[in-house]
This record gives sequence, structure tokens and C-alpha cells, in this order.
Amino acid sequence: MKSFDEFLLVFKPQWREFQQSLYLFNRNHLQFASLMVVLLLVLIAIFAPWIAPYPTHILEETNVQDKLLAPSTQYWFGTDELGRDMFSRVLYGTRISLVTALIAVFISLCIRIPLGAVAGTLGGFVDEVIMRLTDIFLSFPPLLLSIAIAAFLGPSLQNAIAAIVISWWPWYTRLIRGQAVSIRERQFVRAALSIGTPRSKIIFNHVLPNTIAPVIVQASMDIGGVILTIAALSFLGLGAQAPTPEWGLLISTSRTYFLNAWWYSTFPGLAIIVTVLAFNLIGDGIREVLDPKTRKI
Amino acid sequence: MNAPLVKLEGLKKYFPVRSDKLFSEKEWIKAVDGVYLEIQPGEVIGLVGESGCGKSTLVNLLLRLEEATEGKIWFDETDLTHLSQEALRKTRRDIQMVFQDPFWSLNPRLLVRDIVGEPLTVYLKLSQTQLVEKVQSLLEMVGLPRESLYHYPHEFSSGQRQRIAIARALALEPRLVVLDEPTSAIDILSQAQILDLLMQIKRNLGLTYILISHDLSVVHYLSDRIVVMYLGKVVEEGEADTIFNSPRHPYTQALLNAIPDITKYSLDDLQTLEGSVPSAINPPSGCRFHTRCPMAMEVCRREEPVMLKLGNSHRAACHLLQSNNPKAKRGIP
Repeated sequence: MKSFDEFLLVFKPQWREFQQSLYLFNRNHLQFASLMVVLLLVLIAIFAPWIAPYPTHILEETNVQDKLLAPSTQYWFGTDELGRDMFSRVLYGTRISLVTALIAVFISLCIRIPLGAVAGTLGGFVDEVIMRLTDIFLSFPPLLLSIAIAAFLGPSLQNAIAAIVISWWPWYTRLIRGQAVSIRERQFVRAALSIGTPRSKIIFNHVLPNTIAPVIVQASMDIGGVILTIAALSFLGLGAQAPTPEWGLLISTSRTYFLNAWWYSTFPGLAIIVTVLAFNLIGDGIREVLDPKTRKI
Repeated sequence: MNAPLVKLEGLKKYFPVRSDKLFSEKEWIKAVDGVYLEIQPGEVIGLVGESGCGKSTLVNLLLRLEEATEGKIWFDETDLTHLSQEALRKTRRDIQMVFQDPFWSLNPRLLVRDIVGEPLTVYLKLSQTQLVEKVQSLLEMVGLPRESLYHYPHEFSSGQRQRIAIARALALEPRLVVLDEPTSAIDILSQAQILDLLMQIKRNLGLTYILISHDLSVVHYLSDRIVVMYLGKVVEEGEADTIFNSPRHPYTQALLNAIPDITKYSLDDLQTLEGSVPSAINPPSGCRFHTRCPMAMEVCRREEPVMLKLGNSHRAACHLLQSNNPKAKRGIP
């Protein structure tokens, strides 16, 4: 059993770092705002079914006598062609978008980090094979490739995630490989080798920590990108299927009523913009927090 | 004389050159080409020479960061070149290194505690408290405050960073410390402090140093013995004072004449060598220095000079020093 003193000894630097991180984030108002927005979105995603004023409107229930009503105190974002409350549906869409984006980014990271680290650290033939494979994937425009894969696998939300993972992995793999290569040549890795540190420890203590920061930054920005791509796929009918209240799908069905029901496409669109913007801005904030050089306070 | 701590026997390191042509003969960079050297325990050896003369490669071989092409490295009666990785780890504890630029040799993402503690965690099983105590005492030894433990390298000045690097090198109580230009990246006042610190540590712990430096005044200040290298070979070695007061090899003389000195007021007062070190891919025939030597003779082009014993521990490889050479009698300017 560790004594409390020892516990303090171990976690003192972590505590100091946490305070510093908060300070760094608060320094920039835009980043702080984006952090707040992201936290709000996460809360909405978790509690969507409970805070939605008409939870039954989220899926199939119809309410045709109230169809296509403009925003009012009863229906804040108006209603759709089946009389469902848009506010409830957009709220629930947050949950769908965030969860799918997190899954897609997480799965991609699981593929990319090991592949990139292996290619960068080992070099030689393995590196060559992995990099040529990424070249093949990089020669397609990512959105087009996602569309092709989603169309091939058949339209559904799961397949849209798969399509995104398949078409996006090479970007990170390159990023991580480049980092690993440059760090492998750094003096402190040579220093560790001269001490006699085993290679596994070198990868975990020296290479990965110095690789991970740009990856996390990229990942947080990519959550925005993935949300956008999922919406695009759904808009094209290749992602989520009705009656799922996915933002892209909402915009897609709203096209028919575009001229006399402005609220129908506007609110899902705004939701996409706010979410993507918040994640992109938070990426910059995380970069600053993770870079030890900006910690010079 | 007691047994040497380090003994290099005909050490060679050739790097293959990547050739563009498909059927060309394989070419080699002869970075280190037959070095014999003995280092006594407790000695400070200054290794000098221009960039590209093989000093760093020699050290990398000693630390087994590179594998030697040929020759043997004896460290305390064990041959390092043929040790298995497992056995090497045990010997490696005894040889530690301080790198040139302390900004690059310290991982920017680790706390000082983890940087200095790294060798300790690799070799010893210590509890957190023991580790922290040990690191604190090391930091005190190099003259850093105890609180430095929980700071990152970038929060320190270059001199302080080098102190951290020295603390890391000393963590395992090594017997041999390789100092690769320990003061070249540091401002002039901290330089003096670092040098004093190094000397003081050496006296207290009875260490042996190998010091690589371009700065001959630093070498003179620290070293007992000086080894001059040129194109992968040792051209002269001897006691520091002997080398500085009566250098015998023309290359050593040229190096010493090139020291900028506060008493020399213009660049014209400095005598410099023409050109730079020739390519190590096809080193000049005979004496490797003959292309730039102000006193080159016919024989220098043809024959490689052998090491001549000139004094107690003073040796040099130059045709001018052969006793049957007419120029040698007149004494070398």
C-alpha cells in the first residue's frame, strides 16, 4: 500500500500540469468558448432523450396536423413534413453525429498509430510497403472514395463509418510515420540508446509521447471533418436512413420544402456549422496545451 | 603502468556509400581507419581534430551505437565488439555520455526527474521515493536546485540543461564519461562553470573522461593527454603540455596556430590551413595529410608514415620525424 506522501510525490507534477492546461486554455477566449461549446454538445448528446421537449418525435411517430409549422414557442425550431418537432430531432442528431464521429476517429487511430509507428521506427521494407499502400489510397479524393465505398457496402450509418475509416487512415499514417522518423534521429533518442534503454521503452517514453501531440490535435480537428463527411454521405442517401434524425439526412429531406419552410434546413445546418467549428477551434487549443514550449508562463 | 581502462586495437569503421551506378565497385567511407589507443583509469583524454576526422564515429563505436567493421575495443579486459546485447547492457552502465547540445539531448516532454532518473529505472529497481531522493542528490551534485525535479528542460538555460545532462550521465556511477563538445552550445561564462564542475566531479568520483572538442583551450584546460586525429587516424598523441608546447606533427602545429587568441588582433595573424579535410571515400595515398601539409615531401605521397615514439608518452606519425630525414635534424619550425 502506497503512503499518501508517495502518492503526492507521484502526482504533484500532473496536478501542476492540469492547472497549467486550464490556464492555457482560458487565455484564448475563442478557444475557451469552443471548449464550452464542445462540453455543451457532449452534454446534449448524453441527455438528448431527456431534454428534448417531444422525445417521441425523434423517430417514427407522426403528428401530421402540425406539419411544416414555423418556429414558435411550442416548436422552437418549427416542425417537419410529418409534424415532428425539429428541436427534438436536431438535439438527438447531436448524439448521432458525435457518437459516429468518435467511433470513426477512434477506429482510425487504432489502425494508424501502430502502422505509422511501425513504418517510421523500423524503416526499410516494411516502411516501403506501408507507404506505397497509403500512396494508393491517397491518390483518390477522400470524399469520393468514401462515397464509392459506402455505395459498394450499401447505405447505412455503420457502412458510412467504415467508408470514412477506410478512406481516411493513410493521412494519419503518413503524419505519424513522419513524426516517428524525425524523432528517431533526435539526439535524445541516441542519448537513451547510449544509456542502454531498451527499444520498447524508447518507443513508449521517447518516440510516442513526441508523436502523439500532433495526432491528438489532428484527431480533434478530424472529428469536425468526420461529422461533415457523415452528413455529406447521409445527404447523398449513403449514410443514415430515415427516420434517423441525422443532420445531413434532415437537410436532404428538407430540400423538397426548401422554398416555404426555411427553418427545416437552417437549424440542422447551423448545428453542423457550430459543431465543426467548435472542434476545429478546440484542436488549436489542444495543440497549445500539449506543446511544452507554450508552457513557458 | 597499470592496466588501461580502455584499449582500442586497430579499430576500423567503414560506411558503405550508396552508389548510383548499378555495377560500380562498392565504395566505403573510411570514417575510422585503424586506431590504436590506450586510456588509463583516472585520465582525461582530449580528442581533437577537424570536423569529419572521425572523432564522433570513434565515440559511437565505443558506446556501440555503431558496430565496428574491424578491430577490438577492450574495456576493463572485456572486448565490447563481440558482446551480446545482454552482456553489453552490464558494461554500458560503466560508460556514459554527455552530448553536445543539451537542448536536443533532453527529451522535451519528460520532467527533469524522469530524464535524470531514466538510467536508474533502466538498471535498478527503485521505489518512487528512492528514485526522487537519488535524483535530488544528483541534481545537488551538479549544482541545480532540488525543485528542478518537476520542471521541463526548456525552463532552464543552456548551462543548466547541460548540468541536467551531466547529472543523467553520472546517475549510474560510471567509470568512463564521454564528453562530446560539452561546452560548445553554451555561453562563455557558463562554459567556465561547466568545466569547473566537470573537473570537480572527476576529482570527487575518480572518473575517466574522453573529451571531444573543437575548442583547443577547453581541451588544454581539462585534458591530461591529447590525441590528434586526422581522416580517421591518430597522427599525434602525448601529454597535454607537451602537445601544446612542442607539437611535432605539422597538422597539430596547424591546429594550434589556428586558435584565435585575444592577443592576435587581426585574422592575418592566424595561420590557417588551406582547404578542408579531403573526402574519406578515397583518402589520399601515403600520408593522408600530404595534400594540405606545408612541408610535404616526395616520400609523403608514397608511403604511409608509422607512429614514432618521441618521448615518454609522446608519439607522432610523420616522415619528417624519421631520424634519417635531413629536415628533422634542423628541427621542425
